[in-house]
Amino acid sequence: MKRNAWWWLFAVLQFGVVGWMIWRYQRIQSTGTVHRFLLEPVDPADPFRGRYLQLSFDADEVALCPFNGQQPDRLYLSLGKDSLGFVRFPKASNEAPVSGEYLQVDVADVYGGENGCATARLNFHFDRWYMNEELAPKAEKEVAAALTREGTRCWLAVRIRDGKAVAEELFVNDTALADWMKH
Amino acid sequence: MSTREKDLQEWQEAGLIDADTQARISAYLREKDKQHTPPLFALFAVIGALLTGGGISLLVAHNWDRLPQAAHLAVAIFLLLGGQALVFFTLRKKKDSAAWRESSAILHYFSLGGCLAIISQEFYLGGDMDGFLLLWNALFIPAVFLLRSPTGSGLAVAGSSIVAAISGYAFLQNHNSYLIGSLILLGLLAYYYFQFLQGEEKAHARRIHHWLWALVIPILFGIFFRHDTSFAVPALGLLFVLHRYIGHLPRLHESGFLASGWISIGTVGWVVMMEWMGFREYWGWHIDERMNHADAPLTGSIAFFALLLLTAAAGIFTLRGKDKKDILDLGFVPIALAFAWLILIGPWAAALFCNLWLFVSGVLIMRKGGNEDNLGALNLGLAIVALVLLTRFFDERIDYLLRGLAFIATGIAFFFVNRHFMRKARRKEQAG
Repeated sequence: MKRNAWWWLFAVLQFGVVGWMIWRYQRIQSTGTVHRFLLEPVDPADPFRGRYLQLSFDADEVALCPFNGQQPDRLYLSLGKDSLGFVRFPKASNEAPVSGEYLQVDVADVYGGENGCATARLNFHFDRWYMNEELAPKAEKEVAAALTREGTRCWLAVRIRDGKAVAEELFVNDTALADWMKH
Repeated sequence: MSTREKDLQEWQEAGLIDADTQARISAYLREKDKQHTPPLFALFAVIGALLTGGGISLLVAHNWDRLPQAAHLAVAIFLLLGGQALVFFTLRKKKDSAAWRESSAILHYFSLGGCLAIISQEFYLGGDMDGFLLLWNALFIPAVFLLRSPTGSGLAVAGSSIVAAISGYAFLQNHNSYLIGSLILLGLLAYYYFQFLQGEEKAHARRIHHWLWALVIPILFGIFFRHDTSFAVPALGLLFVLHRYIGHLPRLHESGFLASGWISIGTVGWVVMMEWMGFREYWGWHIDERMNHADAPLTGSIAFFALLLLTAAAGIFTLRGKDKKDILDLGFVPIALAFAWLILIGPWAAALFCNLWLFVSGVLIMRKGGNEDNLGALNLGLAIVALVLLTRFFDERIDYLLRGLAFIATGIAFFFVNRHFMRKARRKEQAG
């Protein structure tokens, strides 16, 4: 095959991968169910993707019962809610549940393990909130200051579909971050 | 009229060539010039493309969050298609121009990265830098082969190595697939380096790649010792011995010590590792402890297997080598024998042996340099000897008396060696 023909093939492949990424996340963004994750953000930078708020989550651990001594790479979390509507994980399993909504996450590490139960620390795939380079440091400071005030909550709305998730909006109390920063 | 044309004119007037030959030579050289890209032009094209590509990345990283999502995604697609179109144009119309091939490869690399970065920003994709870079470099690699671009290959080697280093050293769960993916990419790029780059490219591109690969391999080699560092130093020493063999392969051979990254890094790396093994503490704390009081069985450690494998490989290469040039080519011998001394006598014997071997190596290289009037070899030998002496001067485990006597004896030996060489040189002068 000539070089030009090879290039057409690879160009279509590149376009296909990029298009598939856009379609995959766009579908979750438009049709996934919204869940609210309670947060504590900080602000670092990525050389290619710019500044972002690094999100750490209030619910970032889950109990593994029974625990067989083997750390799993990946878990499927059943999705529940607390009394304020924030997400909770009533159950974690190694297989995707047949019914009900669930979220697929990576396991950072596991500790405990006594009495046949352990606790898994979770890595969420949506742990970055990309922002304009001028706004990100400002947002980090203002959100950190706001979080010290009684009753302020920062949370992330996440669309979830078939275990995959896309972050939708970051809220301070019930105001989207971009709007909240204008006040 | 160019200098070349003037020369041809002069030769024709002198009757060396006839007018017809002069015209044909002129036409041939003009045609050749059309196909050939001046090196400086190619260099400026590479620098320009790198700066522009870097600028695209930075503009994307600014994050234009006031634009709607559709506009962001349109820019991402535009960057992708723009880069692809540029590569296509180069393959169709400018495939003989090094400047076009290099600059379109670089711009495609950065536009592809920019496209993926925008998608990450738009959908707030997670923080795995290694996953992001792996996808980027995997999608880019076909362009390296089709455009035959050394700069593109350099960028992809650097990108893939960063993926391997992050996923290999970071002790993160679930990143083994990234590590395997990056090693596959590096394998493909090694094929490009060995298969294509040696045949047709300019010397500077080839030499930069020698240095790049000779540096990347030891950096990534440590990944295999991340869980058990005990044997990392001798294993790295053996790897540097292999570097020297690779540098001597006919396909990768370059004349001159600095021209071949494999020889330079291999030699310096081996000396540093030998020096490291010259400390008794190394053998006592790391190796002896590990062998005698290991929690895990020694034969089960991947490090131990890697060490055995490399010893065997280095040994086979040495035995097969037809032109044994100097003692540095026997670099695996002291490392293997040091283990024998450790087991038979103890850590101090292994350390002493490494020091003696290194010292003798230095002296022999100096002698060779002196005999062949090779100032580079003479200085290398001198540097090795000086390094051994310097580290032993501060070795608090050896008595001051013993150190003092050893230094004086070595100093006197140097005077005699020096006198010997001077007399020899004079004899040579008189004979000449």
